[in-house]
Amino acid sequence: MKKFIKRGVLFLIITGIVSLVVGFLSVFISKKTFDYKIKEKKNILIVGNSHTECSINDSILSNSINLSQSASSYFYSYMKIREFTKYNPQIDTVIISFSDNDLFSEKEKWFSSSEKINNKMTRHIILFNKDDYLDLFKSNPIEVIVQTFILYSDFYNLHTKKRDFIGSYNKINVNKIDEDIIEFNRSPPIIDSIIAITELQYLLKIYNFTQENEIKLILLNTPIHPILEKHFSVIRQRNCSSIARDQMPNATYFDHTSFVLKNSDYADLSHLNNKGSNKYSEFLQSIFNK
Amino acid sequence: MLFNTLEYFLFLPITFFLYWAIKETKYQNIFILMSSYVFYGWWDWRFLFLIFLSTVVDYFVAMRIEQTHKKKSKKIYLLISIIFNLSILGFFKYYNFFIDSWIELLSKIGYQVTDVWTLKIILPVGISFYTFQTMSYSLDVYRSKIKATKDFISFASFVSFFPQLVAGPIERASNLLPQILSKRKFDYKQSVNGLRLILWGLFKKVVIADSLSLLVTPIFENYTSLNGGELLLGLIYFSFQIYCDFSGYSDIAIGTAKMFGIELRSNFIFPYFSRDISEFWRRWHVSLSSWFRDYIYIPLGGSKKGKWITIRNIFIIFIISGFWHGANFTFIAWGLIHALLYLVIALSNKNRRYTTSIVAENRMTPSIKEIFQISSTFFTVMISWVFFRSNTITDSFLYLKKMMINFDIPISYRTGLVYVIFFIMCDWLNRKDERNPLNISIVYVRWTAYILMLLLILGHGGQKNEFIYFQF
Repeated sequence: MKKFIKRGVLFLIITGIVSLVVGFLSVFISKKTFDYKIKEKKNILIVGNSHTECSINDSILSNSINLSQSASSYFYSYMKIREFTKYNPQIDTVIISFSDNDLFSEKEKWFSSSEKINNKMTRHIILFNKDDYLDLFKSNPIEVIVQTFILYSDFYNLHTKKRDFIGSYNKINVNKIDEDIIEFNRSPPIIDSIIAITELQYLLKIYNFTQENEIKLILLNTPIHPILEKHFSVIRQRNCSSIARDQMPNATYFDHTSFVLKNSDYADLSHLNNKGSNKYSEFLQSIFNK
Repeated sequence: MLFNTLEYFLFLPITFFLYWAIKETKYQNIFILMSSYVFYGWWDWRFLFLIFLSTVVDYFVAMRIEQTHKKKSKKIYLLISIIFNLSILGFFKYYNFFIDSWIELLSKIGYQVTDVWTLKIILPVGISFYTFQTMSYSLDVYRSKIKATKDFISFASFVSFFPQLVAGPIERASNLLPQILSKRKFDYKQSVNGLRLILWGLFKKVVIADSLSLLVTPIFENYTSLNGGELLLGLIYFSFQIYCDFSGYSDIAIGTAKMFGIELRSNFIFPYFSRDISEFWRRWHVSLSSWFRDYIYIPLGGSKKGKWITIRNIFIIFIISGFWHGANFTFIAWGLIHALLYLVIALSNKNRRYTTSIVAENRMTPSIKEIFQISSTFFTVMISWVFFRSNTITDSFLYLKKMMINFDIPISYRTGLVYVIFFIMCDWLNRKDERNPLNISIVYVRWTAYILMLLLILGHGGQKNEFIYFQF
């Protein structure tokens, strides 16, 4: 048994060291080779979660690049803004998804749950600095340590899918709105009025960063289906409008939740499909043209 | 608890060290039983009572079978075991299927059933495996092949032994029970070999099967919009996904059991190197196919009672085998296809040509004839997998039709070929001993291979996909 334990421990130590070396090496290479530079004429950076990911077609909204990704905490959006503005000084506008849904207390998990860290950390590792790593470590040390041993795991994806791997416009072809309406009527979603503190902290960090760098910040509440819009209208007024007004006075808040669309333009109650996103992107383009 | 999760990698070493710290077999068995119930209860503790009930019923039934001298009474007790086990299996696995099929049949002849009779039944994980295992115990006692045990704890450990509880191999009491009853000593070589099997099993599951599943799912979901070449790739990928997924689970189960000083039966013996369909069935899911052979096919007369009885028996076991996999007509169709394929070879008396040796046993490469045999067997098996994977029989036929009519060079989904080719090469090099993978003689090369495999497993490990055979 002693021999078994000795050899087992030795094997684990060697594997641990090798995985850390390979991991740090892969991060170093990825950071050096990743293409942060976007086209000169693109001055609008879109970040956030699935709402902006599915709603804004960056080939229609000219001069924009959509780096949103579903289930992204503001923590990851902050890193994207910081790193991409560093390499692309032409960026003068940032659009970020901002809805009552982003600030639900449930969304605390988007930052610190093992499931989300597992899904997001190695994916975004090239954007991390020491402080980001420590912040995440404090929230969930075990999962962050586990992920540190597999930093190399998204090396291949980062090199093949490139920028799309950390976010892009998501063209959805499905429409399951009828099923969702039935489900909504059967059990309407719970209205959660408690704010996700960490999410708000990172949103305010984004706000301060854009203020310091003279970047226009647009808080965007994207279109949702009318039954959902009505359901959350009170909480939206209480949360989004007041937070935008009181805590980010210099940011622009666009509440487009009631933007008129047909049922066939939705993927589900809170996301647009490609038809809806094309219409909405054209509408956004018209706003920017003005 | 899944084998490919962090929980299991904490559970396994803790259980392993505590188990060997216990010196007495009696207490080791109590510990195995407790660990197995924790392992199963981690998924859903409410279903522990089903395992317990099945254990209690077969424990007492087997004792009664042995104690009674009247043949009729023995038969009655055996029937109690069979009816009980098949009833819980039938209720949890097939109730909704029969109700849905009945409603559909009535609607076809003009009766519309408005009341929904179906129940929201959760399929208890592993029910198809442990019910078959306990039934085989009562059957073996009935046939006087083994003696009924009076040691309830050991019997309960045999039924619920955690490495093979949820997806096999389906063990026989004649193999596992004596090992549980006898004294076990820690064996360095056996434990190292067990760890090697676990590593190889995890590699098959996490690196090969889970990576292929990311390609298989979109191909089968969007088969109407893909060309024939891509659909062929989808089929090849699924063939290797299901093999690596299930044989990977079996390897982890066998490896884990070895660490506890117990040898389980082999379940997969390089089935894709089979030279005909009968050899395939001696190498694929061996514990289930031999179960059907020993407890259904042979008692029904096997191939000894004439051509028509043989044909009937072949159809019976393959249809039951299909139905065992799931409550859907697609599985029955899959069983029927295999029955037909097997029938051709059985009626020409060629079904026992390759009973022992593996292909190209003393050579590095197969002959042209063997390549042709292996390829044609794989091709027929692969075609049958369409029925296994599709949602409906119509989908299966449409998939095959589209694959043949619209055949073209695949444009997308080609990356999976890297995994398939790499795996075939590894499997070919391993092919002499399924229980001893990664047995490289040079220490440094062996350790490098272990480390590389572990890094790949960890790097691919984010998805934590369930094992396919959990649903059966």
